[in-house]
Amino acid sequence: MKTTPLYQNHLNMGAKMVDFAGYLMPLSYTSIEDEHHAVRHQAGYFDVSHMGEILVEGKGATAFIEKVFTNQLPGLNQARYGLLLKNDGMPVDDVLVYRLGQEKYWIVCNASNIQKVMEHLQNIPFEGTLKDLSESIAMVALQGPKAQAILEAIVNLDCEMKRYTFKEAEYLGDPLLISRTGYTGEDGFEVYGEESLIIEFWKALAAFEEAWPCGLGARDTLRFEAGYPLFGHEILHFLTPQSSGLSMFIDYTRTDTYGIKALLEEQEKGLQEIIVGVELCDKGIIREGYGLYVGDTRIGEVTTGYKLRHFEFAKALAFVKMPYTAVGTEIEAEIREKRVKAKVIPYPFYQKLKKKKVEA
Amino acid sequence: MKAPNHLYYSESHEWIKVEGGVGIVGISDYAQDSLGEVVYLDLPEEGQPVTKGLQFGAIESVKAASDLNAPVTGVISEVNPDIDRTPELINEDPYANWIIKIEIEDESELESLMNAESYLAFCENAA
Repeated sequence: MKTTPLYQNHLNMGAKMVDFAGYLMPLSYTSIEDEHHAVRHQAGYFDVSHMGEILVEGKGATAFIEKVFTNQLPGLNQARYGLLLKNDGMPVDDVLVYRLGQEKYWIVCNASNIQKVMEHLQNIPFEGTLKDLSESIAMVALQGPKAQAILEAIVNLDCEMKRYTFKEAEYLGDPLLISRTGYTGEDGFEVYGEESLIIEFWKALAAFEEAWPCGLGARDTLRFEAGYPLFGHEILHFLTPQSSGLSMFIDYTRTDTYGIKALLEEQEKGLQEIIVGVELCDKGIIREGYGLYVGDTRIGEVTTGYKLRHFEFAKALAFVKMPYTAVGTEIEAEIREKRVKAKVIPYPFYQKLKKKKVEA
Repeated sequence: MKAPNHLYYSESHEWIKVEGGVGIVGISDYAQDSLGEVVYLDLPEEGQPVTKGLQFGAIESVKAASDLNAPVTGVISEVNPDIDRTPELINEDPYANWIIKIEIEDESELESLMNAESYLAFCENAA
């Protein structure tokens, strides 16, 4: 089993550890729900060093990214979310692409997919450098309403920046990449650096009382509540991202990009199933793999489900077949061979209230 | 990890205490710690028969669902209404907050369960 550079810190802080994508990662330090609420109301920090970072640099890098990445390209010092698709429109992975220079990019991918992504990219002609940096780069996500103040106090730098932009900064004399991104539905940052530097950064975070160490448990409940899909759950290698509700991250005008033509063809035929929100109408919890029914017809399957204390009833994300996807559709969930009434509801289940603009 | 001496333990981490032919059943400290925050219990009705080793309900934490298995055969005489309302009581004290009571059919079934010492060793091996 692999570990991240922060493994010993997790053990010292009393984390409960779990296997995730071949890494021994913290599940939680205190409780999943307490960590969840810490991120919503204060700040939480997560070790996400297991994520993959792939460098794409040199002549033709921009053209290469255009060829493989579904979304519009990020400008300098911007990051963009999108997908890498195969020619048949099926996802290799969902990724963040960072533009560090005119012809220099990072592709940040899921830990479980690093090898697959590298193989996919290596099969596409490119004259520049393609390099997996995952083993040497560590990453910490600092999320929540107090994230900016805490980060500024540590790095002694103004971190006011737009969402999906980043800064290359210096911390203890070494380079640190600070990105205003995250996977929690809350404001926050993702911070990348060499392993030893990230260990120092982690220790600095641990000195803040209002910053909670958070594990993968809360990371999952937070991203679930915010409606972010997770590869292997809401994004599957055998369903196009259109079924996963990710069309807004696809530039359909770039038909030379891998997979776009297949997506356009699928649109003409119509989608078979899409991700929807589901809520039980009674007690119980629906979890990944549980079946959804209308009468005797199995119309869908739960991809992620939770009953958090602030939910009256359990909620889930689920793939549901047409035509049962409309909000308000009455369905049933099968829990331990018993049927429980449920309904299709809108998602995301949580959206941060945007600051209202003052009308003149 | 706590495992009081006067209880019997099953391999699926239930404990049982016997008082005048009635078995009081809950889950162990090890079980509640592995599960994490308990958020829901799927509990049977009073009067329902249960069979040693077979499922009588389920306990669910934020992260996972786990079967509850009967440590002995018998009939459910009582279900704890407190944990139905406040499932997190299980985390607070898994030995004070029992789940069901069973009218035991055959007390000799208890002999196949573990005492505290063997149970602690069993958990050690499982970890």
